[in-house]
Amino acid sequence: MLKDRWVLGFTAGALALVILAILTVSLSGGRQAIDYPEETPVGVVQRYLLALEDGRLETAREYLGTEAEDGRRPEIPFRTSPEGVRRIVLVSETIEAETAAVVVEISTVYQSNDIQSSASSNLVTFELRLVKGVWKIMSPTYFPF
Amino acid sequence: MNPTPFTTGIAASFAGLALWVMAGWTINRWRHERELSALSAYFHLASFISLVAMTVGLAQVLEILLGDVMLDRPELLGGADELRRRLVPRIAVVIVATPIWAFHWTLIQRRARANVEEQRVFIRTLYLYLTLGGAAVASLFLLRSVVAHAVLLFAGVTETHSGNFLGAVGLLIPPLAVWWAHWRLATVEPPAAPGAVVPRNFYFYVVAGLALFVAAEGAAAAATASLNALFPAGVLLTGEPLDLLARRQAPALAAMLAGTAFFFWHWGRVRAEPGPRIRLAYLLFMGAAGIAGGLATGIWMGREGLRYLLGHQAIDQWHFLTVAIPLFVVSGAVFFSHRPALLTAVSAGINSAFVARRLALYSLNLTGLALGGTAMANLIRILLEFYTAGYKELNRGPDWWRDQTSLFVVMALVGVTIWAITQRRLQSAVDTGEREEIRVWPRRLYLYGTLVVVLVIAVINAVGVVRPVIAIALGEPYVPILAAGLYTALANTAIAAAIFWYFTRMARADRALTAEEAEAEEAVPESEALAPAAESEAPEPAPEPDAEPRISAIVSRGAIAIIPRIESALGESITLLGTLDLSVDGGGVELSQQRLAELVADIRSSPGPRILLIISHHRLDVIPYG
Repeated sequence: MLKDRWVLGFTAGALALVILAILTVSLSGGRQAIDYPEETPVGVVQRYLLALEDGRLETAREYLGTEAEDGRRPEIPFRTSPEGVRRIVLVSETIEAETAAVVVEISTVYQSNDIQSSASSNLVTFELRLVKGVWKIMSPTYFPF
Repeated sequence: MNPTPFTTGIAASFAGLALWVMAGWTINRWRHERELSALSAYFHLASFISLVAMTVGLAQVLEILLGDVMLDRPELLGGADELRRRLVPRIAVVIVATPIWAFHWTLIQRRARANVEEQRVFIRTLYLYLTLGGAAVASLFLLRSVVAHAVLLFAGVTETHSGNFLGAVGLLIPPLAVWWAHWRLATVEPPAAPGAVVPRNFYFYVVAGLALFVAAEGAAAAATASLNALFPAGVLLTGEPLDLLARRQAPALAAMLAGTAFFFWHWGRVRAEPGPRIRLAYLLFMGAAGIAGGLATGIWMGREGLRYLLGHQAIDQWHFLTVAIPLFVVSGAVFFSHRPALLTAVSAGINSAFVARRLALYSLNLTGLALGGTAMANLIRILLEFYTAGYKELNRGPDWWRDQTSLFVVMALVGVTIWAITQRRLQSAVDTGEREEIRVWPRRLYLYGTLVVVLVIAVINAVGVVRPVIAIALGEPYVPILAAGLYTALANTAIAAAIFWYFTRMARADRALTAEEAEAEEAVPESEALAPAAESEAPEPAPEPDAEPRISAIVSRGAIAIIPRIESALGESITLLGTLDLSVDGGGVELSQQRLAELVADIRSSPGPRILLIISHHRLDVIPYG
C-alpha cells in the first residue's frame, strides 16, 4: 500500500504543478515591464538596455556619458544572440547627490533546439552621473548581455 | 579525396562499436551471475531514467514558480515571453516523464506483490540505493545552496532577495521527496539477495564521505574568511568589511552545516555495522585524505618559512597562513577523528585487514618516493642551471631561485623521511619471507606499477636528453633555454633510472623467494615417488581433520552480513555452508555488542573441535561437533 501511495502522491503532485505552471504561463500575459521615468537613473538604464536589445546602437550611445577630454562617447562592442530571450530585473538603486548606482539581474534563456534550453543569470552594476541635469551611464561601457 | 578523415571515421566508429559490444557483454555476464531477468532489468532502468527526468523537471518548474512568479519583482525588460520560454520545456519534461515512471514503477510493484522473490532480487536493492544515492547527493548540494541564500538574506547583502532563497527551496523539494520516499521503501525491505548489502553499504559510505568533504571544505573556508577579516592582507579600498565577510562566510557556513548534517545522519547508521571491505576502503580513503591535506599544508608552510630565511621579503609574507592553518587543522581533524576506527579495522585478524595494512604502508612509501624523487630531480636541475647558465641567461630573478629551492628542499626532506620510515617497516615485513607478504596484491601493484610508471618517465626524459644533443651536433645554435630543457630531462632520467634499478632489485628478490617456494612444493611429490613401494601401496590416508573448517555457518539470506562482524570479533574465519530460505526463516538479525560478545565467548568455550553456527531471525545456535 505504501508504494502505491507514493506513486499516486508523486503523480498528483506533478500534475498539480504542471497545471499551476501552465496557468501561470497563460495568465502571465499581463506581466509587463514597468515603464520607469526617463529622468531617473533606473529609467535611463532601462532605455539603454531596451535600445541594446533592439540593436539601436546609436540610441543606446546617447545614454552613455562622454569621456573627459575629446567629448566622444565610448564605442559599444555590439554582439547579438538572436536565440536568447532576456529578462532584466531591478535589484537595487542607490542615488547620492550627482552619482547613482543601479544593480540589475540579467537572465537569458537560450533555446538550442526544440527540446533543450539553457539559462544564465548575472548581476550588472551601472554607475551613473548627473551631467547637466541628465543621468548618464559611466560604466560599464561593455556589452552587458 | 583525402582518405584520412574517412579512415579515422571508420576507426572511431569501429572502436565505439567495440566498446558498446564489450559493455553489453560485461553487463549481460554480470546479469547472468546475479540471476537477473532482462525484463526486470528493463523495468528498473526505465523507471530510474524517467524518475531522474521527472525529478529534474519538477525541481526546475518549482524553482521558477517559487523564485520568480510568486514574487513581484520590478522588471526592466522581459515579461511573459521570457517566462514562457523558461517554463515550457520543463513542463514538457514533467508531462512526458511522469506517466512513464508511474507506469514502470507500478509494474515493478505489481510483480513484487505477485511474487515475493521478486521483491528480494538484487536489482531492486541496487535501484533503491542508486536512487537514494543520487537524490541524497543532489539534496546535499541543494541544501547547501538554500542555507547560503538564507544566510545572505539574513545578513542583508544587497544583491540577494527572497526570490533566490525561494528558488533554491523549490529546487530542493523534489529530490528530497524522492529521497524520503525511497528511504521509506528501503527501510521496510532490508537487502536480502546475495551481495545486495554492497549497494546499501556503498550508498552510506559514499554519501557520508562526500558530506564530510563538503563540511571540511566549508569549515576551512569559514576559518579562512574569519582569519582574513582579523588579519587583512592590506588596507580595504572598497566595500564594507562586514558585507564582504558575510559574502564569504555564507557559502562556507552553508557547506559546513549541510555537510555535517548529512555526514552524521549517514555515518550514524553504518558506524556499528559490518562490511569489512567497504568500511576499510572508506577509512583508508579518509585517512589518506587527512594525511594528504596535512602533508600539502606542511610542505607549504615549510617552503614559506625557508623562503623567508633565504631572504624573500613581501608585505603579505605570512598572509598564506590564513589559508594554510585552517586547512592543516581540518585535515588533522579528518585524520584523527577516523584514526581509532581505522586502527581497529586494520588490526582485525582477517585477510582484508592485512591487505589494508599493506596497502597503507605501500601507498605511504610511494608517496614519500614520489615527493623525494620529484624534489631531487628538480634540485639537480636547479643546481645545473645555476652553475652553468645562471639566472641572467635564463631571465630568472633571485626570487625564482629562492622559491624553487625552498619548495624542493622541503619536499625532499618530507619525502625522504616518509620513504625511509616506511621502507624500514616494509623491509622488516618482507624479511619474514612469508608467502602472503610477497604475494599480497598491494606489493605487486607497488612493485610492478612503479616499474612501469618509472620506465615511461625514464624513456620520455631520455628522449629529451638525446634530442637537444643531436640538434646541437647537427648545427642548431645553442641557446640557454635549450640547456634548461636538457638539464630537466637529464635530472629526471637520472632519478627515474635510479628508482627503476632499485625496484628491479626488489622484484628480482621477490621472484627468487617465490621460486624457492615453488621448488620446495615441487620437491614433495618427487620425494614421495622415491619412497619404498610398500609405502606407496599403503591405503590412501584419510584427509587431515584440519583440512575441514573449524567454524561453519548456515545463515538466513538477510543476515549474511553478520558473518564478517563475528569473524572480526572472533579473529577467525567462518565458512559459510549455505543460506536459509527467507520464506522459511526470514527477517533481519539484530546482534547487539553484548550479544556478539556472548556469542564469541560461547564459540571459544565450545567443547568440540568444530562448531556449526545457525543464525536466523528465530535462532542463534552454537553447535559443537566432530
